[in-house]
Amino acid sequence: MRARTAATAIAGPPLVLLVAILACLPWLLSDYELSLALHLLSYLTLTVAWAMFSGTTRLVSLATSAFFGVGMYTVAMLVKLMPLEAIFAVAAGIGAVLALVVGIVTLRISGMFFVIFGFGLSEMMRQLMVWWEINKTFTMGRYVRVNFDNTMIYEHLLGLCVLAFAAGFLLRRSRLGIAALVIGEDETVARQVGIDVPFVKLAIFVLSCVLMTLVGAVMAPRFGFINPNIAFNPLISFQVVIMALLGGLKRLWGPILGVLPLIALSETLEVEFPFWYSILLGLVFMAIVYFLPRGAVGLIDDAWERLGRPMELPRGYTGWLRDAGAGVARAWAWLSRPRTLPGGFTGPIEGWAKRQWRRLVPEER
Amino acid sequence: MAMQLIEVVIGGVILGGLYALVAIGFNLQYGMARIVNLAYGEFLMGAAFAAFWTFTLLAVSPILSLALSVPVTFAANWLVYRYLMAPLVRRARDREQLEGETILATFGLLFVLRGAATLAFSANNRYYDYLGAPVRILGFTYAANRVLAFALACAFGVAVWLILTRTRFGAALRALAIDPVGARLVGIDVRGMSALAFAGGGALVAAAGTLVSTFLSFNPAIGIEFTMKALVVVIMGGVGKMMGSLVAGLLLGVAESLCSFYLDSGLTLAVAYALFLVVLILRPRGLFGTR
Amino acid sequence: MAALLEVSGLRKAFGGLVAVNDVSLAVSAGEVLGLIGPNGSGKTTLLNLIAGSLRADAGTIRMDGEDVTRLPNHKRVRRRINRTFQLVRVSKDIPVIVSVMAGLLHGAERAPYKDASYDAAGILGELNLLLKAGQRLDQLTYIEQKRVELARALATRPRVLLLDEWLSGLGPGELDGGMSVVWSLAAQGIAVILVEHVMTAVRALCGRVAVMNAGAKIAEGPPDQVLRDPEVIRAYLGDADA
Ligand SMILES: Nc1ncnc2c1ncn2[C@@H]1O[C@H](COP(=O)(O)OP(=O)(O)O)[C@@H](O)[C@H]1O
Ligand SMILES: [Mg+2]
Repeated sequence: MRARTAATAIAGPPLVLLVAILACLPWLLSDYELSLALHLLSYLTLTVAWAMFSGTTRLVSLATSAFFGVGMYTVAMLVKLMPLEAIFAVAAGIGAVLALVVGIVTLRISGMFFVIFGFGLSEMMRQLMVWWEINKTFTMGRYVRVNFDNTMIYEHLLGLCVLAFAAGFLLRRSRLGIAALVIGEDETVARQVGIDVPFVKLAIFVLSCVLMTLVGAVMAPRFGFINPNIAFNPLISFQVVIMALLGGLKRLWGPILGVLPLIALSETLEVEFPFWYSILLGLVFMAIVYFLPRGAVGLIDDAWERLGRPMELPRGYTGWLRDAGAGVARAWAWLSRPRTLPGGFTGPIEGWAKRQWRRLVPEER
Repeated sequence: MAMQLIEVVIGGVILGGLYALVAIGFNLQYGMARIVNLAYGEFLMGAAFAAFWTFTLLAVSPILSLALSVPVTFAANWLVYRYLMAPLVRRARDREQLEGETILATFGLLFVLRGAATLAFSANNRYYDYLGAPVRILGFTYAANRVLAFALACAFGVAVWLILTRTRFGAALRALAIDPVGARLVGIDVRGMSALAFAGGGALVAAAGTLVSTFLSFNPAIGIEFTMKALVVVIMGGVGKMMGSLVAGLLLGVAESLCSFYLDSGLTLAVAYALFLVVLILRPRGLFGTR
Repeated sequence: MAALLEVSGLRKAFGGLVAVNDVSLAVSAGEVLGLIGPNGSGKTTLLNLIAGSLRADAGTIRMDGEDVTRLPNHKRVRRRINRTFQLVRVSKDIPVIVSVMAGLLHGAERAPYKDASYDAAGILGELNLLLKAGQRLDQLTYIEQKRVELARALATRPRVLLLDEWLSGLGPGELDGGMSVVWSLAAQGIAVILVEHVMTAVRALCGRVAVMNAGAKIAEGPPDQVLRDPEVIRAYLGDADA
């Protein structure tokens, strides 16, 4: 317990500073860089939200784009009626209700039903919205014209992102989070230690979906024009799953390792090979599933494992501090080990220098 | 009014026959080979394009393209199982992990195949006119191509049923669906049989794709919708239960037909989902599930 | 003494096979009730019914006077009924201490989060597992795994504990240790139902033994008397001489 508090205290101030610096970025970046940052931040938040549920319970959710789209569409429909912040609240509410309905119906039964339902949810929402637009409001798409520029979007997204990380952090240290971990491991054991399995799943699912809905809502003004095909784009679900898997699900910071390279990759692919985009992304995805099932985090953990931990103590999910200490100790031990090189570290360099010197100044005989 | 209703219901049965075929193929893959194949519908889309090109380029009946697309898809699916799914089967600790990993892998495959089709054929909607003439059945009129599709779907369904119930191979497959471990113990080559079941499922969806293309317009993105309907039908009818898939498929067809008549034809997926929800709430283990 | 757990007329069928047929039992606080019977006689199924892993077809289960027959698994845990699994459920990713913490956090007493890891360490310490707290279950030996199962169950603070062949597979030296653990559980006032094939343990620990055969309870009483019962001997040795 104490070590954990210490770790939090040490990591706290730099993190606050980091967030403060990130908050100033819009005034430092060019327009292009800012829009890239928006892209990145929105996917990072979606991925953290996704991992919050799917990473712990191991139920793959393919419904990200449904919730993202609901957020976006709520803004598109209400934008002329109320102030944006109020719309965000409404969007969060709608997202929560949808998540509750989906969760209550499917989570209770079996993991498979949940996955299937999520898989089609976005497509169904798209159909419903198209039908609504054509038959009820006689429109096809809507303009979102509000006084909400990229800087504002950025600041809101940053807030959401911090919120998502904070929620993930607290979840890992809470009754609910421990329950989710045990559920992911073995549901029979989970029930047998008194965990209300469906409730825990539902609670985390709703939390994660509300975050996704809010990302969609905040991003809406950036699109300017929104129609059902833009809002409910299955590629978003797909990309979020890839990013989360690439990063690895075991750690809170895993999504960062997944989102950065994949955004870079997708930016390049979209510009250089627009027609090959879907194929290449699919191949990357399959490569991750086959060759990197635990993601980048798994690689890093394995590397640490190989270096050999000094002691097997509970890692308490913030074992890094101790790992870092162990790293320093290992480096120290390595440096202070008796060298086989006679002249120590600098020996070879000295020898080389001496030889050069002798070539220049032949020894006296 | 009542006559109209009957007409709509018969139309739904005709459509449902096709859904049942698609679902039976999916059930071979999921119920017997234990693979959740999210790229399933992409093979339907591929076969639809094959039929389209046979008809427009060679000007012969798209039904002839079955002779090509069914064996090719069978082989392609066999290869998918052998080289993409088998490694996952080998490394899975339990059924849940296998389901999770195959879902992810085939989700990737879905985007690869769909991307390739878009690249090759463009995202445009395709349509060709084959046997569009109306025929009269029981005093109602239906397009001939739909009726033909229904008849052929029935033929394929009967063939599958005969194979499953009348041959040793079919008995082994059914054993696989009920208890893979037990099947191995009585000397069934589980890996080989699963590969064949998986490939067989692929062949059925290719057949369905050819039939669908005769009366629906299609594009490279239609696969996902059929995969979803197959999933919904299989879950409703019960995993591994072919009769269940048949009944649930017909039910879905009728429901959709009613919906497009009374509401809107753009809401078919919503209907599938609504039906799915009702079944899930009333009978969480499927229509024919037992406690 | 009033019984803590009362089971009456319990029945469970799997298809045509009646695995538990009209079984009634009672056990009171601090008592160790032995439950024996040949393999496949329905002992594990009976425990599953009491713990709530399976729903009974008929019969009632009363815990401390309250009818818990319809309650789901996790709610029975909170009513202080818990069990160990005959086949150890091996976790692959989470450390031992986390599953024990989960028991404390979600079990009958719902300990506050800040105390959970401290209390979990205490429970692991009592079972000689403290040094294994950070390991995963699959890194432990079989005996340690069995102790973790018990630690996980104890973390929920049960008053009725169902041990499914918890002592099986222990060597002679380890058996003594295991038996003294069971003994101390009873001494703390926990009602234990001990499913066991190791007869030395049954004789030493149980004041009363119930015998099952083909789903039905065929005898009940003090161990010495029950083990001499001809019907019990027949159940174990087969029907050849019947
Ligand atoms: N989930 C189940 N489905 C079908 N049959 C079962 C199931 N669980 C147990 N059985 C059957 O019930 C009978 C009793 O099994 P069990 O309770 O495990 O016996 P024991 O623990 O006394 O060895 C056995 O014949 C077993 O095959
Ligand atoms: Mg047993």
